Amino acid sequence: MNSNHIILATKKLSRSYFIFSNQTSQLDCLDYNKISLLYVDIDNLSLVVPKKSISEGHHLSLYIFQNSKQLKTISAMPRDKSILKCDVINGIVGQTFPFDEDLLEIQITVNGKNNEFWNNMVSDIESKQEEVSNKFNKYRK
Amino acid sequence: MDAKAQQLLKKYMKNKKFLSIEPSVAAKTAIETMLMKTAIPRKNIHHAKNLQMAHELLKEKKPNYIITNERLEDGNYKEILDEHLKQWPNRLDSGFILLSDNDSLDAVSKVAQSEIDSLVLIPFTVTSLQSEFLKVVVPKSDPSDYQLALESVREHLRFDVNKAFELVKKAIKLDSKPFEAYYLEGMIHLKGKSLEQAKTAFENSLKSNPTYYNSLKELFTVYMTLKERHKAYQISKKLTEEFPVNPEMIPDLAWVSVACAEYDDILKYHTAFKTVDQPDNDLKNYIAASLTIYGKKIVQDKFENGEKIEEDIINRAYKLMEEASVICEDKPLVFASLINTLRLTSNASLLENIYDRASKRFPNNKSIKVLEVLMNDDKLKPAESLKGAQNAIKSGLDMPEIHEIILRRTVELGLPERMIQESLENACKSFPNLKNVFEEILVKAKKD
Repeated sequence: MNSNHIILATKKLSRSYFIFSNQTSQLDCLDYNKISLLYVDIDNLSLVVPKKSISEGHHLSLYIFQNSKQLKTISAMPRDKSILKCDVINGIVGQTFPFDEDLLEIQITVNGKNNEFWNNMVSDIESKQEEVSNKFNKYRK
Repeated sequence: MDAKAQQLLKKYMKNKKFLSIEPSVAAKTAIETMLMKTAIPRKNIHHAKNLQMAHELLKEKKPNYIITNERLEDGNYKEILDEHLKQWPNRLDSGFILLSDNDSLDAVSKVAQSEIDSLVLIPFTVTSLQSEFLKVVVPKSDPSDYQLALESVREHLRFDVNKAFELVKKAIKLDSKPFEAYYLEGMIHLKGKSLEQAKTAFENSLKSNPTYYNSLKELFTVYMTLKERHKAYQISKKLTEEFPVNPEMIPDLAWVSVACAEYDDILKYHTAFKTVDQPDNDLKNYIAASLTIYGKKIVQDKFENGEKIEEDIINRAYKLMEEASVICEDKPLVFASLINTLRLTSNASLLENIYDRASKRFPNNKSIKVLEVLMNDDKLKPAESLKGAQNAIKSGLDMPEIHEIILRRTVELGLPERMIQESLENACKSFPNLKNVFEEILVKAKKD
């Protein structure tokens, strides 16, 4: 048995984490465990967020983190956002739908984004899918 | 996709029905868009928001394909999968796609070993969804004779094993490397509990494809059951080199490594474990179990079997046993095994340390409380030990091990036969099934 080959099938996830500032109500939502990205299209995306954190027509700034390390240390949105190690997308909430008892699904039309980041995000989703698909198929072939 | 493949796909899709089970409106819309882009008419696409609606639609529409979110508010998607497999036993006409945000190696490997055709990660795009969907349906739209035969075997395996066996023999002849057919033959033999024949079938499967996971996994279990430990070890090597190690397999893999005196493997599991960022409790428990198996083997070899074990190896075993007690989260049996093993040694301080850790972690666990009485039995005078055991029974710790101490010590102290018989009656009253065991203990104690 070669030690270099031992990989443990852990439950560790590789996912992004999100928090947002509701620019309309001036409230922040830092509950990153309750915010998740569902779907990404050409210039819109869908998120699940805590109920009552945002409504249709509200403007938001979405902060996207590659891991939860920094998020674990912040209890309030910093005044100086430049200290956040994340990417930002600005958008307006189109439709909202109840997701379950505690969560709301929101569709966001993006009106401010870094195109390079956006393209990377989309290609990351697609390449991560390809990676999972390859791992999955290894068990079948 | 060339024109011919497109034509075949179109023909295949013509009368197929689809059900999406998806609480999200955006995801539901994206699934519908993707299906319509793949030339499926709107009338053949149905949607359910939850499991209850899905059950109703499954009965009413009998969809060939299901695309479901793993996270459903009113239950587990596996209910639907089971129902769908019964409804569509031939999976060339049907399929099941799971949408999940869990991309961990553990989750991917488990889904890949199920009947699910594909795992689509959330978040997704229409492109990522469609590419996965096509990977599932395109091969099914133009199956080879071998694939048709395999599917027929799988279908019959569920309800007519004899027919499945007849079909699998034909399937084997349809491909130059029929590893899946041999695997299915092995599964047929396992259903009939014919382990030797299953073994041969899985071995044949691996001759055609040495890294076929299903056959490696089944053959490992067969070798373990047949106690062919060296062959089991060779398979375990292949498994761990080719695939991520599933934590629940670690104790078995560790056992076979230790049985084959390949102790370094255990250290390698431990080394791999130490690199894991925030390991979950299951992983911790399984690694702790593997370290315990290692420690037990070394200690037993030295103190029970009288083998010559070098000092640094025994010290390393102690170190890893201590490590096991630190890692182990919620398995009192791991602690019980560590403590029982250390009782064989003279390492009283480590024994005390591990017992303290166990009693703090599981203050109300009977197995751990019993260990205290057993440990006292090792070091106290007979009369004190007897008193301790009797008090333990009075306090409600009515366990066979405690009765054993009472029986042994009563004889050892030369107490009247009346009292010995009374102790035996009490033990048998609490554990009538162990009457013979208790009687044997008495006979042995009297001889000693």
